[in-house]
Amino acid sequence: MTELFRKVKDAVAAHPLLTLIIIGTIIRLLMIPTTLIYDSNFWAIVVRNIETGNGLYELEGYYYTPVWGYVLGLISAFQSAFLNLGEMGIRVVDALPVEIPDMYLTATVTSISFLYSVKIPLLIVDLVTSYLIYVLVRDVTGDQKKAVIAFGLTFICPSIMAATMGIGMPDGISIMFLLLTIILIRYDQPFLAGMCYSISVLNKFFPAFLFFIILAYMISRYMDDKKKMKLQLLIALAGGVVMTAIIFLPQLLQGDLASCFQFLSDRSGTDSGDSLLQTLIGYGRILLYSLVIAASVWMSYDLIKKRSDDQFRKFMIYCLTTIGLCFVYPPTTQYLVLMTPLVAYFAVVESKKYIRCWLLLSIGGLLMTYASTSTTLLPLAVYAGMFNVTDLVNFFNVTVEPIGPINLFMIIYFITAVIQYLGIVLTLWYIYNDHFRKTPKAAVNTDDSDPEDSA
Amino acid sequence: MDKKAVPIVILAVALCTVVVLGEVFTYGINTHSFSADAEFSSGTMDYSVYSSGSDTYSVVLMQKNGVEPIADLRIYVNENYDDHYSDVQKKSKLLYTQEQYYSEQIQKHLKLRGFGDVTLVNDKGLIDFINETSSNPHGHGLLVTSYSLPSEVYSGHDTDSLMTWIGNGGSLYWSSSEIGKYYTENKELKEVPDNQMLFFGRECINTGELENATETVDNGFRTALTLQDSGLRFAMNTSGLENSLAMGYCKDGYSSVSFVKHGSGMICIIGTMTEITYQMEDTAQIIASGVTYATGIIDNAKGDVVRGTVRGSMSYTSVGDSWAYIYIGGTYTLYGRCFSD
Repeated sequence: MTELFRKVKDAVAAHPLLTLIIIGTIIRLLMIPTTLIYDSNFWAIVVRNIETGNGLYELEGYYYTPVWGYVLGLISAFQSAFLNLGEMGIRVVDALPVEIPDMYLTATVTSISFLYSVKIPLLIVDLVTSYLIYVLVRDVTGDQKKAVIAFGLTFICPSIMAATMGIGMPDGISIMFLLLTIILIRYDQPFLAGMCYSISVLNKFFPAFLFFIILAYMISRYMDDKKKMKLQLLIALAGGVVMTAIIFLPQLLQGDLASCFQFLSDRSGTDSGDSLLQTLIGYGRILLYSLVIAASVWMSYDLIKKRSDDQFRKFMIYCLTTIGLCFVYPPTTQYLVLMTPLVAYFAVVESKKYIRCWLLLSIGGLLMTYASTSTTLLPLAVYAGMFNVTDLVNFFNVTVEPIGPINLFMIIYFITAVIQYLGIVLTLWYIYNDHFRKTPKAAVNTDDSDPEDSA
Repeated sequence: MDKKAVPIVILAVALCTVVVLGEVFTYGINTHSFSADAEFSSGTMDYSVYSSGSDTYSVVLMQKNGVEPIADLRIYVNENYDDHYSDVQKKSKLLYTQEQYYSEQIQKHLKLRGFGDVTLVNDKGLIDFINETSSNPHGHGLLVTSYSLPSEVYSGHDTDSLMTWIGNGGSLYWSSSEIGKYYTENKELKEVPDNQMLFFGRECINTGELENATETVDNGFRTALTLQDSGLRFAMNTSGLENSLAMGYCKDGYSSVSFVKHGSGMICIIGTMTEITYQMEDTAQIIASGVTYATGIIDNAKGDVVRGTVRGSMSYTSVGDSWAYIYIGGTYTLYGRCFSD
């Protein structure tokens, strides 16, 4: 036994990256059937809509820009060609009490096989994202050990796992393509960088807030060679435009581009069917995002006008600042998938203290996702018989039993949301303290170098 | 190109290709095809179901009991829905309906279920339709998702053209508000005090706090048609009503889908819920399947069809009075067709 333990220990020490991949993959595969069934039900609806030949927007069910829908299209084609999943989901009568309006819960429980077919691609996305963080840290620091730690902090991050495996949300695609954009810019591959940035934005919209920062970084990067700068910018722009045109081509041909942006009005809460409170919140959010854009313009100006030797570091600081500011409006866990890998990067490259932010985001995000644990277990109860549906619903009923004006679920949700939010606030506080209050020079504690330099 | 960049470039190209490939499968190459067929002969119905992928299918053999299903449908789109929405919403548990969008969605859901004769009508279209078909409205259906109707067809009296139309054989499907509670005259909203008495001769519509069902109506229709709408806002209680049929989900006597005979015609009430997809699916499913207050289920079969054709047969005795509804996809119905004896 001791010998086996020693062998395992040696293997882990010899192949830390592989070990992290195996551990992260196993945890994810185990997490897949525990899901927020509300969203997975909609993915099944989208798959159905595609199979009927109605694309993404003809039939009700898909509210985002097209990228994730296209991934579902590919999954759907794969399912049809090779798999036999049976019925993608069923209405479970015993679970009907969970359908409390505005709680985003449903009694339509998607099958475990369907969940695996949709979430395994997201597992691959998480793996690639972690690899890209690994590459970035290795490039910036030249330190393999730090790169492995950054990989681990991303791939074994509980909140990222919760968002992609628990909720089944595709926000990981955005950060994956955003990281590719950043690395490709460093590698002087502007056309592909433009393409990747386009996909990142058109999957979930938050990376759009980084447009000016990325543009400014590219300008500042080639400031000494204006001709090259113009060429690089034009090529990047061409890449972005080409990919955007490709992505929107079906909607452009159908003259129905507006349907891709339903989420803008839906999420802003400015529809005529919304209450006054929803409308006010919606306009508040629009105001905040306007301020974030203004801040990003200022940071972009600063990137160009006050160039430093560690320009990439400054760029990354401004990226995290902008994304952090977006989440001043309290986000749900899946949105933070865009931020958490960057926090992991900062924890390894900048300062260990960012681990505290990572922990808060991880713990808060994980607990927030599973605040309604009983409903996330429904697929296992319905399809694997591991739990009794009635027991789960009874437990759920206890959590939503009114305690005055609130209930236990709201208390758990609020506490976990606060923990998660503290992670955002602490990140912004550290950045402010280290990089905005002090002079940037004083805060330097890492070597910033171009990939060529660290080779 | 820097040697270090090569794997990242390859990765980026591969991932971009995946997205574009997904787009091609979503819009360009339709790899999915479905079909179904049924033949009736001397008490036996032979059916076949085909899918190019892997899907679940259902075959529902039903008896008409002398009542023919509708052949065409008008969906009333209230172009002035927003004008009085707030007023009505204050007095009831009305949920906002984007009339045009919702109606178009129902139209599309009906189309994929093989029910193609659907027309969206505004005030004028509705008035013309009611007047033109009033003498013999058998086979015609009207779906209302608005909280009010124009006074030209309805003003809360049994002599209204709408009431005559139903009485003569028209089929009225109503969802998303309390049936017949309001009408508009010269753009002014007017309330009908005894609307339920007018339509049903009794108070049987849920206008209270009851929102969601927790039980099922155990007559086979819910499972046979894979009904999903468990909303009970403005749903009907058919208890004690002759020539009525309840199905779907229920609580305290109210059921998510209710049919009742009215004169020579029929009224169908579909319960309203916040999750509109379920409501849309059920509305389309019950209309496309041709169910009426008189329908009975003879037999029902479910199974999986995997990249090929499945065949089967069912027996029936009601020769000339039967029809079958075959649909593929179950909860996520993506194809449906009706076949008549």
